[in-house]
This record gives sequence, C-alpha cells and structure tokens, in this order.
Amino acid sequence: MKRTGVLIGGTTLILLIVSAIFAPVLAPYSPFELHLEQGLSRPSFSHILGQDKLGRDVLSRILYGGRVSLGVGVFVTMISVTIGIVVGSIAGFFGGSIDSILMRLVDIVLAFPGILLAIVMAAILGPSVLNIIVALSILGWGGFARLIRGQILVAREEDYILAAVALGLPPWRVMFRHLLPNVLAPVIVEAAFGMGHAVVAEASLSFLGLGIQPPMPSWGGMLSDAKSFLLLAPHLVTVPGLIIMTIVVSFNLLGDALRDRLSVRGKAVSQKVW
Amino acid sequence: MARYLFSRLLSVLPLALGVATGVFFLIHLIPGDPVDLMLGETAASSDRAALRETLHLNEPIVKQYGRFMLSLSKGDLGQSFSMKKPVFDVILSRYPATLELAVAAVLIAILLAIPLGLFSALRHGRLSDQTILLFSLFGVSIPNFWLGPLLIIFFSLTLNWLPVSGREGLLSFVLPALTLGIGMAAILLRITRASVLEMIEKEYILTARAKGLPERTVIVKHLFRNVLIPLVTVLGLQFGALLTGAIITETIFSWPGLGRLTIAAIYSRDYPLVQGCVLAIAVTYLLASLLVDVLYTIADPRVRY
Repeated sequence: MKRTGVLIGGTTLILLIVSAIFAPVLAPYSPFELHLEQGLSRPSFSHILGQDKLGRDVLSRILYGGRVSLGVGVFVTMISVTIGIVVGSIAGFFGGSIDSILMRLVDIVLAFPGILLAIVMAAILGPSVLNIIVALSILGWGGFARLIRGQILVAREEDYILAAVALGLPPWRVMFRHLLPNVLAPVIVEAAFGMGHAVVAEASLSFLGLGIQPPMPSWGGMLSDAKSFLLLAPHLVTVPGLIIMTIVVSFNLLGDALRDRLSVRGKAVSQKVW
Repeated sequence: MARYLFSRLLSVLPLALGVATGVFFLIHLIPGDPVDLMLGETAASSDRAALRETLHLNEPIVKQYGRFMLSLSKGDLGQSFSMKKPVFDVILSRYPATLELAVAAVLIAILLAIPLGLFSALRHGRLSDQTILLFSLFGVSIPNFWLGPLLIIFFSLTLNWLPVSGREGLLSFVLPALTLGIGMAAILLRITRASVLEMIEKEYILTARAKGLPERTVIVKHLFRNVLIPLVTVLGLQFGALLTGAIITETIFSWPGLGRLTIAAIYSRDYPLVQGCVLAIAVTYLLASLLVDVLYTIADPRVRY
C-alpha cells in the first residue's frame, strides 16, 4: 500500500511537472486563442477537454496554468522553508530574549488563521505572481520556524553537540554542520505537505479573484470562471478541480511515505500551514 | 481553573493587539485612495479634502494608529466607508451566520469522523478499513472551492434536493456545511483511527477486557475517552483552516457571513471594515484555541490547572 502510494504520487507529480514545463510544446492551441462562437463547447476530438466561455482550449489552459500553480507552490515552499530554518535555528540555538522575541513574532503570524493574511496581503500588494509568492511565503514560514526551533532545542542537548563544542568548533560550524543536518528530516516531510497546501492556497486566492489575473491561465481562476456555468458546462469545473486534487493527493502520499522512510515520529496528520 | 482561564484570557490579549497592529499597518499600505472610491475620481477637490479631514486620512500614520488603538480599547472599530455604519454593528450583523456555518461544519466533521474512524480501526487492515482510508485521503485533499460547485451540480442542479445558495431554513445549511466540514472530517477520521489503533494495545484495555467487561463498555467507556484527547487537539489546530475555508465557502454559496463581508470590504477598499473583519476572524480563532484548552480538562481529568 505504502509503496504503491509513493509510486502513484511520485509518477503523477513528475508527469504533471514535465507537462507544465513543456506546455508550449504539448499544448495543442494557444491558451489565449479566442473562439467566441464555440464558447462552452463540450469535449470533442479537436478540443479534448472542451472550450471555456470564450472558446479557449481548456487543455492548453490547464497545461499553461500548471506552470503558474506548480511554480508558485515550489517557490513559496522554498522561501518559507529557508526563512523558517534561519529564524527557527537562530531562536533555538541562541535562546534567551532573541528566542522570546522571534517566537512572539511567529505567534502573531500564526494567529492569523489559514490564508487570511495572504488574502489581505494579496489585496494590498496587488495581484501578480510575484506578490502572491511573497504573500504566501510570509504566511508559511512561521510553522517551519516553530518546527525547527523545537527540533534544535532537543538536539542541542545531545552528546554529539557537546562533543562538537568541546572540540572547540565555532558556533556557526556546530550549527550548520552538526545541528541542522540532524533536524532536517521533519522539515522535509512538512515541506512535501506544504507544497500541496501552497498549490491550494494559490488556487484559493485566484478563485477569490485576488490571485493570478485573467487572461493568464490559472487553475483557481478557471474554477472561478466555471462557477457561472455549472449546468451548461460541467466539464469546465471538473477538469481544473480534478487536477488540483490529484496534485494534493500526490503530495500527501509522498509526505506520508517520506515520514515513514525518514522515521519522523508520527504526528498522524500534518498541521495545515496554509 | 478560574485562575487558569483568566491567565489564558490575558495571554490572548497581546496576540490580539499584535494582530490588530499588523492589520492596521498592512491595510494602510494599500495602494489606491479610498476617497476616490467613495466620491468618484471626478469629485471636487474641496469635497475630497473635507472627506479626507473627517476620515483623518491626512494625519501622519502613527497618529492614525494611535487613534485606531484608542478607539479599539473602547470597543469602537470605526465607521465603514462603504456601508456608512459602525464597523462593529456591520460585523455583529454578519457574525452569527459564520458562527452557525462553522458549528454546523464541525458537527458534520465530528459525526462523520468518529464513527467511521472507530469502525475503520476496529476493522484494521480489512477492505472496509482500506476503503475508508482511501476516502479520507481524498477528503483531506479535495479543495473546498471545487467540492462546493460539485455538490451544487449534483444535489441542487441535477437532483434538485437542496438550495443552490442563500441562508433560509435548515436545508440551506447542508451543502455549505458539508463543503466546509469534509476536510476536517477526513483529518479527524485519520486521528481517530490512528489513536484507537494505538490505545487498543494498551494495558488498561487488556485489564478492562480481563475484568470481563462487555466489548461495548471497553470501547465506549475506556478506549473512547482517551481517543478524545488527540481529537480535541487537532480540532483546535484545524479551526483556523475552517475559518478561512468559510471565506471561500461563503463566496460559493452566497452565504451572508463574515467571509463574504471580508472579500467585499477588500474589493471596495473599505479600510476600517477590512481591519474589523480580519480582527474579528483572528480573535475568534484565538478564542477557539482557548476553548480547546478548556475542553482538555473535560476530555482528560488528569489535566488540572
């Protein structure tokens, strides 16, 4: 069950990432090509996934939309993890008042439930890909910082750290060569789940009209357009949603597998960071 | 207990103030002039200046912040630009709808998760267990902005059983609460299953069985109480996700709650209203985690303050 999980999750993700990268080659049409007279057409041989309200090819828009969605997911997770590692290890390593101040800051960031902060930030900064990445990263680092800090607090007391300090190694060396590598496993696991959450968060923003702006294709935006035509064109709501869910399922399968593999002590389900 | 509650309430205060400060400065960085939005860009410059004066928009931001904090301490959230009413009243009028929706969603989540999780754990490894697990994986992963429209297509447009949108009568609750609650149900289900599997190996269960207690009593009285503890924890952690989920769910179902109000306020650049909404949602979340701590004492009598 676990093995098939990794296999399915991993393969799906690789397929989706590759098809997003090669979208210009794979897409049968331009994602912006209008055919108003064919608006809301159901799937056919010439348009496998049908056409949207402006007659644009849904398959092509899905492929191009994947570049944005997956790109945002990857960048947001990378930035969040980096900030989280820096802040969390400083807090955990130095302790004292630095720790208190940084952790109160984390508390405040985490006191905004879910993507609420990102909604406000996206509204303030104005909707663009860069701003969405910024908004979601500012939201995402808090959980990682808290995780790293907790890990460091535990690891700091281990004998091998005492040994490293006793050998007279400088603090930065103890931190980067001895502490960090030993606390990264749960971060990698959380990052896998986090990537799925980030994709959903971006899609949520775009769905609310605060994310990727038309005519640029995004999965959330396609769903938002589709909700006016639920009965007339159910394929428009089915396809992007199915893709988003597939991605999240894949990341969850991957995260579960990584947790078992890296034998991270089981929190049964990751806390939703986004 | 009372002392504990009091100190916890006090600990919420600095967080709420931090959130209020964060929101205030975020909002005042919004590009675009609320005066333009209220009067239109063609309005006479004297009118604009007058309005600017009444809204205190030409004061330095630090002074505006001081003013904001001062009125906040009196429970005054200012006037909504777009609705021309006190923000506090506007929020109060929308709050019950969101609270009802959230409670309904939590109820659905609990009612689905606990029996299914228990059943799944007791059938560990069988086909029924695997099937439930697979469904929970999809439940965790399905985004609510997709589930909502799918439920509408199926139950409202095709079967015609339930209303598409609005908040009239019990039936109108079903789809929004399901949309909002499924994700949480799936997570709680996994927690229930995992902790039942963990607990059932424990010696106190063996003891209970050895005493000759009927299996029913063992499960309900001995096992279940211990499963409640991790459930309560996760319920608290997930409540934040539920509140923001409400923003999307309310948008899909035209539910007249705080979430839709927030989005509308953002679109009309109604600073005070956005501020108020975000604050209201964040404080609700903080109070919910407080409630969770109190629930601990009920779920686990060993926890005493």
